[in-house]
Amino acid sequence: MNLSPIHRVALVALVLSLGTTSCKEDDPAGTPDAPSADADLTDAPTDGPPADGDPACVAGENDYTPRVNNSADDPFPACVSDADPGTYVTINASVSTIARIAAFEDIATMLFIAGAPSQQAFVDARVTYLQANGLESRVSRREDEHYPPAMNSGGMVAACNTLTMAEQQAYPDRCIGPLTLTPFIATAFTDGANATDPLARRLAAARIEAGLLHFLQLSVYKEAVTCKATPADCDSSWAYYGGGDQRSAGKGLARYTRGLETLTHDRAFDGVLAVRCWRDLDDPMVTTDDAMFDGLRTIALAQLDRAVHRATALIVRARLVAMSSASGDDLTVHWEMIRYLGRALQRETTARDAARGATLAAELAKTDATQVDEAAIIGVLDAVFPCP
Amino acid sequence: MLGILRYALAGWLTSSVTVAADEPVEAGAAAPAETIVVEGDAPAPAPGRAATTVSRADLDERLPRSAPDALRWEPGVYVQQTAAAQGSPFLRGRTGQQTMLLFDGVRLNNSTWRQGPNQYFFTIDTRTLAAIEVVRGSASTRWGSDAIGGVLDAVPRDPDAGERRVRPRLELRWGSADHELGGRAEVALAPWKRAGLLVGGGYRDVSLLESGGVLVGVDGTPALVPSYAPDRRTQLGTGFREATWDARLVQRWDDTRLTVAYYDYRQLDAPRTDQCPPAFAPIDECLRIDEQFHTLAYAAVDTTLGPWAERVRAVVSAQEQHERRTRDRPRASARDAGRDDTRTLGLTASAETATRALGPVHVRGEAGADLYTDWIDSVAWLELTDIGFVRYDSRGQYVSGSRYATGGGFALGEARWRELTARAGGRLGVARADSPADEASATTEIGRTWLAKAGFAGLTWRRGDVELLATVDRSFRAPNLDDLTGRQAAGPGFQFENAALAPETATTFEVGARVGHDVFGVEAWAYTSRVDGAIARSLRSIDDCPPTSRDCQGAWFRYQLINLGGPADVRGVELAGDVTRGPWALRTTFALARGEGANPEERPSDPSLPFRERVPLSRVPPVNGTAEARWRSPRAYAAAGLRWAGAQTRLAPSDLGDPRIPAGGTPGYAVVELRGGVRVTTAVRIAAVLDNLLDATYRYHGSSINGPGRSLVVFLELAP
Repeated sequence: MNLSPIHRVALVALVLSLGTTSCKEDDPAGTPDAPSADADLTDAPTDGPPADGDPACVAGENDYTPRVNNSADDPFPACVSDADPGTYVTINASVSTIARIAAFEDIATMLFIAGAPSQQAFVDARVTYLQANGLESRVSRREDEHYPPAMNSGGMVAACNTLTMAEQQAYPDRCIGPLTLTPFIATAFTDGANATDPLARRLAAARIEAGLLHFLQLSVYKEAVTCKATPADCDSSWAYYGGGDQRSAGKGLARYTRGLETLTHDRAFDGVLAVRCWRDLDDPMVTTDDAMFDGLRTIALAQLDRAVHRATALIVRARLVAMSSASGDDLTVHWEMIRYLGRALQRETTARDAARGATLAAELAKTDATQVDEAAIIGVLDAVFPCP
Repeated sequence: MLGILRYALAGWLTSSVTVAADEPVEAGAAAPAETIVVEGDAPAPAPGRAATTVSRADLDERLPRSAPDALRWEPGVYVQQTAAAQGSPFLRGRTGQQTMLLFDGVRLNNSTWRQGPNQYFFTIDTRTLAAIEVVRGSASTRWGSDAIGGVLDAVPRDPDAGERRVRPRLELRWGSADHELGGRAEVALAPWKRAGLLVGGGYRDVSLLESGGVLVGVDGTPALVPSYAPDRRTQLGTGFREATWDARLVQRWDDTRLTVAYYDYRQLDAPRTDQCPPAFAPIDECLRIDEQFHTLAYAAVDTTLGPWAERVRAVVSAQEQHERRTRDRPRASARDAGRDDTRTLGLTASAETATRALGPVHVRGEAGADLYTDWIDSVAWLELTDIGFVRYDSRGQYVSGSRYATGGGFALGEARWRELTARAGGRLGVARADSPADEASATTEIGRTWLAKAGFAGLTWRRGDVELLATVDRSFRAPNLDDLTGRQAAGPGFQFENAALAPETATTFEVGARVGHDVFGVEAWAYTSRVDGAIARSLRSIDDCPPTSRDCQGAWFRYQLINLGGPADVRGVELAGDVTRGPWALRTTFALARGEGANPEERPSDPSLPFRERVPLSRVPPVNGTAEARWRSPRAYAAAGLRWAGAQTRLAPSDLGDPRIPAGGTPGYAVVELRGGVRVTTAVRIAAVLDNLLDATYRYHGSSINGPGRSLVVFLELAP
């Protein structure tokens, strides 16, 4: 093959150019923020001072009571939680859950307001929700430890997230995070971002609030349970309740609770300390008395669970009270929040009182807020969750 | 001398279009003490050092899945895989930033290579290679920053020179473990006088990889990653597609050779296995490297300018490393994405003298300079897929507009007197990092320069077939842009930047002995390498996170790179031996490395809490070795191979949070394979490997994936 110099150069250039065609995908165009003027804000109602709680609600016989004589009178041996009942002593220096509760508070500031958040607020809040290692990452894996664990196709205990969605369907209660809460919250964010009607946005915000509070309630207990295998989870349980704050303050679920009833907040914090106390005593590197420490663990978990259920019931009850004096859109919005957060109480209500559980289920199934019997639901909650 | 000629012959034959029955270079044979001159090759990396070569014949027989995979039979080399489409060679316990990767002598390392294993050696197409040179041990004097653990130089195949022929070649490959199907088509021609042109392209499609089963850690707990299909063998988050094309023109005039080459590698849809899905995340969540591209174009002139510059080489190169990744979260209708582009311009020049006699002493030298400059473009964004919303972060994994330059000047000398050869050299290196500030992410501006010195001295005594060697070497690695500015979710947790890092310097002592004979060869090496100011991950608290980084605050673990307060040591022993008798050959390797460094964590204020001053270094390989037996005739061969490793239970603090490492450590393994090949006609060759004959479940320490289960790889070559 004889080629002139020009042809040689052209041949080489042709060959080399064959590979220079870029197959790279283009970066997407960014979405400009919507104008913020579509927010429909109304003055938030002023919350009253929290109730002290019923003096008749005394601690359980075996409960951990750090505020009484620094736990000297309860069955728990001396532990790290005794010295200062206002302080949770962390196991690890850093507790990543604190960042997630901070994100919850950011979302609350944007969405859980008296009026209708803007469409842009839903987008911004969703971005906060979706941060790496953020709330969504935990909602999507959350399991309800009150139910037996899921099993894989080989008959072995398996985490819900290791199962396909079809396999998870066999465990709808256990796999509540991936099956129920994740799509529920995701849809609400989408609905809010797409809604031009202010009422629709308020309803979406109410659903998000209900979903996230349900998640927090589940998480406090879940982390306390898994603290047995992973001690750092005790810290997460504490953080899921109060956002890393100590007894005198509190973010997330603790903020709601403290604003409603001091007794329940204190009992919930006692429950967190109880779990920490057990963890401190039951050092897997030292102890061999599994029976005794398993007993303490059972007490601590029950104490915490009871208080957190009471806290959730207080939130639902407060909304029912507000609903009973509301009308129009406000009535509808209150009910939207209640009928979804109420689900967080259904299992425990039915377990404690089947008849009242049926009443609750029937009321929560109503979609028309004007047909709801607020008093009946309040009666159920007061009867089933009288004390923390 | 025989070794030189044999290697040169192999290089020549494999550069010919027809892959005839090569005279194989003994696999793992020690590089001769003298400079190897191979037609079309870059200069030999480091004479007098622990070095082996993976030849074209080795590649044709072993049928490796990738360039990193091709190194599994080399002493002192251990290959970690975070994904099926990735592979990171460990040389003497070090990888990634601490090993130098070259292609035809062109530096591939750039300033965005992160701490620990990376995937970039995988972007070299083994089908374009004549050999892979492996040099174990520090070599910054010749190659600059990063060459602490060793050097890998991928030597490309050359086209025929001078013969006016057009010769096509087609190869096809299929593998059962991952349903790999692919091949390569190429044509070699002599377009004009004294010129050779090799043009080729390849493609393969790789599906999910089937292993021997679920890997269980040393303590009996199944590894957190990967996830498996219901058969409990097929690993989810594996598979990829790959396309390559290349062109190489070699033009000769008298003593001068001009090489103009272009290599393009495109990998698509490659999940990162440990993040697809991440441990505890929904099963449909996946981090995928959508695009992993590497493009290299260079022009090299090799010539002679007289006895004082007998071999002169000048290279100008341009590279682009492109990575686009997506983390899909379908249940949240969200997608986190990012793109990093690193463009590098390289200039190198070197000259070697002829060997001159100064009385009874024969001397020669080499000197040169090199400079590589990177430009970085990096973006990250979040997509809400159900509403079509896209929000860009203020910065990507790096800060767009960052620049980095590394280079220096070196001089090497060699003096030979009777049985003794002394070598010495020095380098003055410089590195410069510039990165703009980003207020929104609280990223500070960086403008830093480092000067570093490297040097070595070695002595070789050779009599007959016996050679004794000793070397002391001082090498360095300057912090790069990934260390100084990178924020990313790494295997053990979230890693954020440290703009105050200083270079790490390595001092290595090694001694070796080689016996090279026509029938057998044995070599043994012992080394100790001490790194001062070693850059390692240190656990950080939430308070240490960049103020705006919720990713950091929410992570289970968060790390920052620091210079360790005390030295980090890697000590080891490497053995290799081979016996050849007629058509039979046996080969075995053994490597033991132990790494330990200052604890990167602070001593707790509570004295009752346990604390160790020194802890194992991260992901140092366990004791490991290989054995091969081969029978070869002019037209056929049959072989068996064994790869084994002990358990690795020496874990660094950061390893404890790494889901790729099972609880308690990675168990040991033994994997047997059978190989065979036949040249049916001069134009047709068939080869096969029956991999993992015993269907063992195994994993290379630090990897996300298990090795293939019992499977078959079949290869067909047509070269009329």
